[in-house]
Amino acid sequence: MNREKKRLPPILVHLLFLLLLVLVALPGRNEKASPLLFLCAATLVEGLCLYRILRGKKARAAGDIGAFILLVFAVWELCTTVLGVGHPVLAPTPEAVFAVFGSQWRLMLRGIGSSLSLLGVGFGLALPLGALLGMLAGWSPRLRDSLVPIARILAPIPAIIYAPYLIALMPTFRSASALVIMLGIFWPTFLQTVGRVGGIDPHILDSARALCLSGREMVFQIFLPYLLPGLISGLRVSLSTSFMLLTLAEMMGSSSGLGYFIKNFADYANYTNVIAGIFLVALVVTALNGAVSLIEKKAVRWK
Amino acid sequence: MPAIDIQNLTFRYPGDSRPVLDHLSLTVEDGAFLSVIGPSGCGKSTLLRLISGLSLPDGGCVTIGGQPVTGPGPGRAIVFQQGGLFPWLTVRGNVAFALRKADASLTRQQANDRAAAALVRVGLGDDLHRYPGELSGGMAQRVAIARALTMGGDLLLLDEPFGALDPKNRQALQQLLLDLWESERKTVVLVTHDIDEAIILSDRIAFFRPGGLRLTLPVDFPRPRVPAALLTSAAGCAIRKRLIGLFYEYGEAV
Repeated sequence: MNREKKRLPPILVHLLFLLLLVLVALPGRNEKASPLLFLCAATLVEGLCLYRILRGKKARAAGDIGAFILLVFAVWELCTTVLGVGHPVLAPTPEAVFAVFGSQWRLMLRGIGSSLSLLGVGFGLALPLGALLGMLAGWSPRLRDSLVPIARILAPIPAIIYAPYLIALMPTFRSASALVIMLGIFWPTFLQTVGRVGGIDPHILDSARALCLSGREMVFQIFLPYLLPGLISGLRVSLSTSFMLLTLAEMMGSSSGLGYFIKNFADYANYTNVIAGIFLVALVVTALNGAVSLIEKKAVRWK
Repeated sequence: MPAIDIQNLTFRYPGDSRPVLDHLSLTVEDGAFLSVIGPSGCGKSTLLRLISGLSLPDGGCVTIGGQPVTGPGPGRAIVFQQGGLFPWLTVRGNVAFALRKADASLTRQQANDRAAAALVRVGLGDDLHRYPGELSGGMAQRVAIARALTMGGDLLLLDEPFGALDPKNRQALQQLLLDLWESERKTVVLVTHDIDEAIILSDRIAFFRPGGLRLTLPVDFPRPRVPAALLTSAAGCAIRKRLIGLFYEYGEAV
């Protein structure tokens, strides 16, 4: 009985995949776009589930998630394409949405490149700076007592509210949004690092001091390795934050990027492209999170 | 010349009305094993921090080999009750790191080799590449002892190193320390709560009361020592009795 129950979800995902194939094959009222890329996406979902199920790694969860996605696809396909009951502008067919990935791939790639390079600059500057200053402030009481009160005031200000002014102030949009990301990442990273330095096991600090380490050795050979896992898991949160800041900033005044992609097509009421843009952002964020997990696994073997 | 010469040492924790150590004077001979024992809060661990230079006194001074202590220095290894290892380094990495800090001329390879040899001596030859988080309390203390012993200094400071271990592990590590010490004869100051441990290991026991030293007792047993025989001998029992009496005097049951 129990075993039957466990095997149910993996079957469900395959059934839904078949159902979806049937729905796509059925003559629909709204078949304008090529279903090729939509089918590719559905096959990808099915393929990933199959891979997980065959490897037996979290097979059940994979089956459930896959079933959910394919169910959404199937209902979407049924309503918009087959029955044609959706709003013609607000509810595009899945075929049309996925076809955007084929027609707009240049713009999408350019958008990803533009957004990620901004993210890289803002992140790449703010994170090491925040962590370094945090470690120094954790080490020196004088620095801590002067910087922490300032940080406590500045950190809670949502960085995006600087954006309209910074876009006007800075010479280029790119420098403005890189600065917004830096403001959004720097202070929280700084405060977290100060807090974590304060939380280091005193015996570890005593052992390090007994070895007569210099200030620099203390920061780079004791604090940094000790704080690295925390910094990397903080990366996950700050990555989401900065991605949000970035896309919002891009919606305000950019001429490229993922936020711009969505905002621009929304201005023309092209919601097919807007939905495709949302999927694209989801893909990029997932890929970035995957990269963070990979770094975590490689860099922090001792946890 | 005594290895450690402590004169009129006074230390008060910020906010305390009375100093935890008040004009303490004590000497430890070169190559001697001194145990410091006494009720809780009488400044035993503080004394060790002052000798190591991790804390600085409010008055008086500690002189080691003729040099006054002004901060942590090479050749003064300290082992804590727990938590002294760097969790991001492997067992061998921990020892090798300390070796290279103590002697900058060592290459990575030399430090690794020496660290491995030291770990073999404490019985951890098979665990060189494990991380401290994967070790039991006893194994972690073995690493800490190996690290302290290999650093090459003449002075070893032990702050209740076996206090968090179960009796079986504690006995094994006491025996290990006894063997290592009898072969190396470093000057050792051991802070402990355990009367038997003090008797088995040391040449002299310093009993501390709140504020400082109450008295010192010589422990004149020949070495190498056999703990079980020593503890049940008449002389061993006499020292034991004396120490238990002192503990009761300060309101602490043993």
